[in-house]
Amino acid sequence: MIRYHWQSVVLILRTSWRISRSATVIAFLEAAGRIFQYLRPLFLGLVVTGLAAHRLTPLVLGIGGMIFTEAFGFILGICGVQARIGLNERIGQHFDAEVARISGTAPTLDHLQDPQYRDQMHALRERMGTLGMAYNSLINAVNNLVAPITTIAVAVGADLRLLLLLLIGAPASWWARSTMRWEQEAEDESATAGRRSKHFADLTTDPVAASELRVFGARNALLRLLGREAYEWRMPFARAEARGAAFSSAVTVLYVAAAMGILVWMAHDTLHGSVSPGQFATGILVVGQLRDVVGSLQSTVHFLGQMLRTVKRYRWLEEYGETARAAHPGTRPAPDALRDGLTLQDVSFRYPGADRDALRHIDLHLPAGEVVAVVGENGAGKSTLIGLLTGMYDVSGGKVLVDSIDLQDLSLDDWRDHCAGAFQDHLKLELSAREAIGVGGLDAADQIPDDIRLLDALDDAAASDVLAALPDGLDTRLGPSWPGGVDLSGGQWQRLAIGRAMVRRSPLLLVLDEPTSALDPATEHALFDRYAAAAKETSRAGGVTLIVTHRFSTVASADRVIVLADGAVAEQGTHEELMAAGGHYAELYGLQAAGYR
Amino acid sequence: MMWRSSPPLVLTLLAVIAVRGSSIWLMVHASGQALDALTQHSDRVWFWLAMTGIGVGLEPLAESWQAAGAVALQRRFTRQQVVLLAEGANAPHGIEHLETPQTRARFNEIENYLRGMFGVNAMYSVWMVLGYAAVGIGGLVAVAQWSWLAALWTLIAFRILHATWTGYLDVLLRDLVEEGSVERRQADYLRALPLERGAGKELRLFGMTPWVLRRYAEVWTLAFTGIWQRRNRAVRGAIVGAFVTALMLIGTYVWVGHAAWTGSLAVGGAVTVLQGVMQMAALGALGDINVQAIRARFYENEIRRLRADHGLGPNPGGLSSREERAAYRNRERESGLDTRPRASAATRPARVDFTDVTFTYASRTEPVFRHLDLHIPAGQSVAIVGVNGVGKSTLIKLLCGLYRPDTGTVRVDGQDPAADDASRRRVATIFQDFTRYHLSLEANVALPLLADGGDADARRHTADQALYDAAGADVLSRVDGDWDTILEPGYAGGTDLSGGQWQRVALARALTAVAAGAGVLVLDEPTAALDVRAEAQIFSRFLEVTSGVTTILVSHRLSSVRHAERIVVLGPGGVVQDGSHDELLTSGGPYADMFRLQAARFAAAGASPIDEMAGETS
Repeated sequence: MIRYHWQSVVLILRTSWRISRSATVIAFLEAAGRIFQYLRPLFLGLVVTGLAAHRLTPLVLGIGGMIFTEAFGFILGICGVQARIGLNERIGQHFDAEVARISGTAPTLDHLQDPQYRDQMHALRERMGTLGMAYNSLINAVNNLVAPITTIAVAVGADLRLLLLLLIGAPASWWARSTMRWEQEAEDESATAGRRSKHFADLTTDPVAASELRVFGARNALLRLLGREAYEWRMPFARAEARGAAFSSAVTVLYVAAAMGILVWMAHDTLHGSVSPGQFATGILVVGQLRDVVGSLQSTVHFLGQMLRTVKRYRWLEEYGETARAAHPGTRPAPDALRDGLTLQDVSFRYPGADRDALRHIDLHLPAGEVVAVVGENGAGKSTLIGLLTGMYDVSGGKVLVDSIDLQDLSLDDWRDHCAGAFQDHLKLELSAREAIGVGGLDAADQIPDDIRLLDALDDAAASDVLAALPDGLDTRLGPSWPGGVDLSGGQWQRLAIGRAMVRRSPLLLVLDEPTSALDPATEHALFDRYAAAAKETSRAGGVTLIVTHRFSTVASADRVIVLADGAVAEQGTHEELMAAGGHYAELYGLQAAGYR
Repeated sequence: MMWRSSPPLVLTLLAVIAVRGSSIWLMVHASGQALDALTQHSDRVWFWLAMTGIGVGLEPLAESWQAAGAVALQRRFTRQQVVLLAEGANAPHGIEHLETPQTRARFNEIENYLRGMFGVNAMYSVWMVLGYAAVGIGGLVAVAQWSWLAALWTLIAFRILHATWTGYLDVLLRDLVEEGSVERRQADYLRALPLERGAGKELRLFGMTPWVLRRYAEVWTLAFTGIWQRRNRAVRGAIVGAFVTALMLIGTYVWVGHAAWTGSLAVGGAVTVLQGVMQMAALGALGDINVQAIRARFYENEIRRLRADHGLGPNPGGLSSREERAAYRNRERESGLDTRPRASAATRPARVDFTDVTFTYASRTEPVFRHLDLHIPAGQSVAIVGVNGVGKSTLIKLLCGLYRPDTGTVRVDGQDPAADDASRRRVATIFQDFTRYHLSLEANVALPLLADGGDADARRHTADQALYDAAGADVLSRVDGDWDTILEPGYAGGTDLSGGQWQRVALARALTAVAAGAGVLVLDEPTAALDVRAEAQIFSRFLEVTSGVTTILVSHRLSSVRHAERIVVLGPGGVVQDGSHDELLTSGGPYADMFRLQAARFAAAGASPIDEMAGETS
């Protein structure tokens, strides 16, 4: 445990050192200034000695020490704070980036659905730069540690009996350990209400949610919910703090009683001459500070605890990320071209926490170069199938084969470099239009491809007119919440997402997961023609195009239709074969075609 | 605002810090007296030692209860601030303020503060600062007992330090919160992308994460470089201030030393005064808690300003006195937020009139509509079609009173939905990007009834009927019939619905609003995420379900649209076609073209509906 905590401290310090050596050193100067501050009982003792014996030297030394403390303490303090805040920001940024990297590079999507992961993440992401604050807590802990050490040294110089007071430190450290635990518990306990109150607060400023709340007359109801959750959110902290105060009061009473006993003892000896008035004066002040030893140790523990807790969350995430990566050790490169195709062998899949399989014992072959349509009702497992083929989820049973290589043995990153896709719940990237499209085809150096390539992709996505409507072309900032940002309609966003999917040339797997739901008929029509063209290009490298849809009009031109029902393959074949078979497919097709009769 | 969040707690805390200040004075004063008694071998030493003990003991007790009290107050304060802010966002009748980037950014910035490390520790810091002030005053009194001039001199010294230091912190603050926030927000947006569930798929498929992280680092550095430069300039002033303070304090100490050496100040007196000066340092530089306390005040004022900009006062409900609040409640009953629809409990369909409507978004120069006229008699079902970007969503926003037209009028049963909630709630709308509330299934469906309170059984019954009408039986089976299941997997016992299931929940939500008295049902692409069977299910009961209400359907799927009695085709110039499905097919034009285009896909697939259709219509 201690080893673990020590590693946490080292992790923070090493990061700080790497970011700026000088700032790291200056930040600790504050602590140096504090040493003098806690030498003040000694200086006061010198003053009293000088006055009582009418000797100038101790008096000047004592007053001089106090002057030095004040004059230099503040200046050191200011430099320290300046250095500390800058480091705080940079360390915060460093770890924010790390957290984002862990989340963004975990091979699958499992973690984003894991409640435990999301709770840990919530605490870190809620507060931008949380780990920077952890560094701040560390400095505060060190500053608070200087006090007890210096004070104890002064006490030893004045009268050894004062050290008896440290015996009271034992209950204090026990107390401090429990408060640390209570605060951790409070943080965990409050996570759910915290998340929900944030959700409610966000709804009041989100234009769509705000519209809905207005239309349904639920604004006040939401305010009530928000107030309730916000109150719940902070409750565990109030309780932990009250408990802490009760315990610290008990410790303090005990301490003061003991301290008074020793001072009375010292006063007795001073009356009899075996203790000097100077030592007694030091004693009086040091008793107050020895009391602060408890307080400072408590603060040290508080700050350390705060820091260790935050770092622990981070390290938990880091380990989670490593475990997730270790579960995907595959390193084989993806083939340049598919010869055989993609095969699913007895594949089953169940979402974490679900009580039934989303896909059951699927055997499928998607031949190289074909356009395959997947149809089926909501919840039949269409999107899941795509998730498995692109490695977003691990199969619960069976195998996914790329040609004859198990997807598990492939480098997932490399395999995905050979995939492309557009989804119904596409990402609305609020960047420049160039970036929002170009990230679909980043090259090996992570650079956005040139504009010609992007214009071609937009053309393939029947989205050239979306670009034409943007005031600054590819430089237009997307998203209305940015200065000069442009608000796009659902259909415009969707077409940009399809454009993004078209940037990579000749992918081995192109997935189109209901990408046209928000489009009008004319656009849809134009798009289907481009799909066919794109599919041809894809098929030259043996690529497979997989179109998920519930619009049957799209399906007919596919080389092969797969009908999923309730997690299993119900039928497959060409459109004509399936129509002739008169099964599930023919029924659904008839249902939709009837709309146009 | 802090006072209003809980007067008893604030009074208690004030008492606690008063005890803190007094105990400091007692400790400083009594210890000096004890030392004098000791050097004079007087028996009063025991009395003064006891007093010292009380001072030494009380101060830390008060300190820990101050912290506990502050955190208890924080709980109320956070609730108050969060609600005050949300009230500000809620206050305007329309949503223009939320679609204005600057305003929305202000709301988000304050919200982020309130939930951040500083926001949730605001009260702790504020009371730490107040507690230190009490300690400083305790010391000040002890020094003034000897020489008020020395006390004043020392006070000035510490206040100079305080002022220059606070000036530095001010610069620190302004940069941290007020300026450069666009880049910082941009950096935060990039940072959060890899953490979002919605972004996970594409981030991985396109291997975007390294690029996102690199951009994040670039934008972040850009945002902070200027801040650091300004801060480095500001720190110089603080160092000069500290230097002046140091010189003045040298004066104080020499003064005390001289007085004691020459005998005008007894040994015990010197000990008291020196301790007093040390305690007065609490009136000087305070470090981060002071920053945090200043931030708390800054954001309190931000919330006040933001509320004022949206027509609200500083207090919940926007009003300060009891009488005003009572008056407000009366007005609220008449025309305020969330009042029930004006119609009687029995739903009756409403008439909709757009008369000569011209509308332009504030951020654009081209109007969306020019002189638009559209009249829908009560009870009619109308479909509105048109290509993307032609203004279908804007039409809905105007109908919902979320925007006001530049000229012309929008009326629902003769009432202006942009005027008050009672008129607006005659309109029930599912927006295309409907909201997925982290609430129970029941609350998600019966949202329109939440504000009305009322009978829980009746609410469940209404929700049940609405979900049935929305073909949502499988939603109920997804949650095993438990209406209290939270529809978000991140919560204990929570579950996730598919896109199609959500869409039916949203439809049921709108149907609940109809049950609650809405007379117009607006459906914006209600079946985009539905499969064939679910769509067929919904539309098979469409006429039955919508029989008592005027229905406006916006959809690209012409197979859905044709269920409507009347079809309105919007073009860039306004209404370009208006008639029944059959009429529009016969007359030719954009609608017939679009329909044939969609139908042709089936024809190509061999079912040849186009021929049958042609036969039907000729």
